[in-house]
Amino acid sequence: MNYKEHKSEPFWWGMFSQGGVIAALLIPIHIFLGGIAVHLGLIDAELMSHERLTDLLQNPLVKLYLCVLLIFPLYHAAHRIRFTLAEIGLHSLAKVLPFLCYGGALLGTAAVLYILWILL
Amino acid sequence: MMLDSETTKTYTRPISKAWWLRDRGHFNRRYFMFLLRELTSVFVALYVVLFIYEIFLLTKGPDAHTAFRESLSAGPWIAFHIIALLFALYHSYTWLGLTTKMQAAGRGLVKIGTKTLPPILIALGSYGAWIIATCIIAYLFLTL
Repeated sequence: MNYKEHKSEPFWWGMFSQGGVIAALLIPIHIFLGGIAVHLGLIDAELMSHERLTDLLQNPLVKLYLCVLLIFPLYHAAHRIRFTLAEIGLHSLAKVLPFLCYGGALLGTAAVLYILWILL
Repeated sequence: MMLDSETTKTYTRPISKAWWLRDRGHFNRRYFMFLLRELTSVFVALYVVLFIYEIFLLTKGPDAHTAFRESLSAGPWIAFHIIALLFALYHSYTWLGLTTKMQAAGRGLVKIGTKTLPPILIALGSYGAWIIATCIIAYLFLTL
């Protein structure tokens, strides 16, 4: 197979690694607080209300934090999904998968930046 | 990497399509756990997309966001979050355990002078950082 590594490959591996660390450190507590604890009544529902969240997002540090939290893990997931799909049988798509996966992560990045810094 | 069978005589063992479930007629736990580990990224991605959707709804006003929050309180969504949490925890466990594994393998990564630090210290460092980050985020979320 004449696979020639694209020169952008180290960048994607780097983002995969960054995103992996950020997802490992930060994602579980967010899932627990916003997705489970608040619905089981373990924490006050007001903590996830529109008023409270928009108030939090007035703070540029919170926006910056959300950029890190949401953007890097997208690249982590895109990279893993790219290779896993090929490994479970989609070898024939190996040339298209990087575009689909990293393209998705890039779109997500644009969405996060647009929502946080322009819409909000 | 696949070899071109036209130009080489190297034997490549045929791999079943569902190698992560059955390999040469047997269930291989390591293959299965490998796939589970890779699958964690799907749940990370789904959660992040849901999160992005929520901040988008914040821009649509209180009604849209409140309705979204109410739908998330339904059983299936709670179940989704519990499953996503289990996968996210497995990601944290495997990812943060990597440096420990590398430290344990060969000569190790982190040294002081010529002494290699024991892997348990690396484990304490990475899992400790996870616990500290979790506490900080929870504290800020609950008190800001």
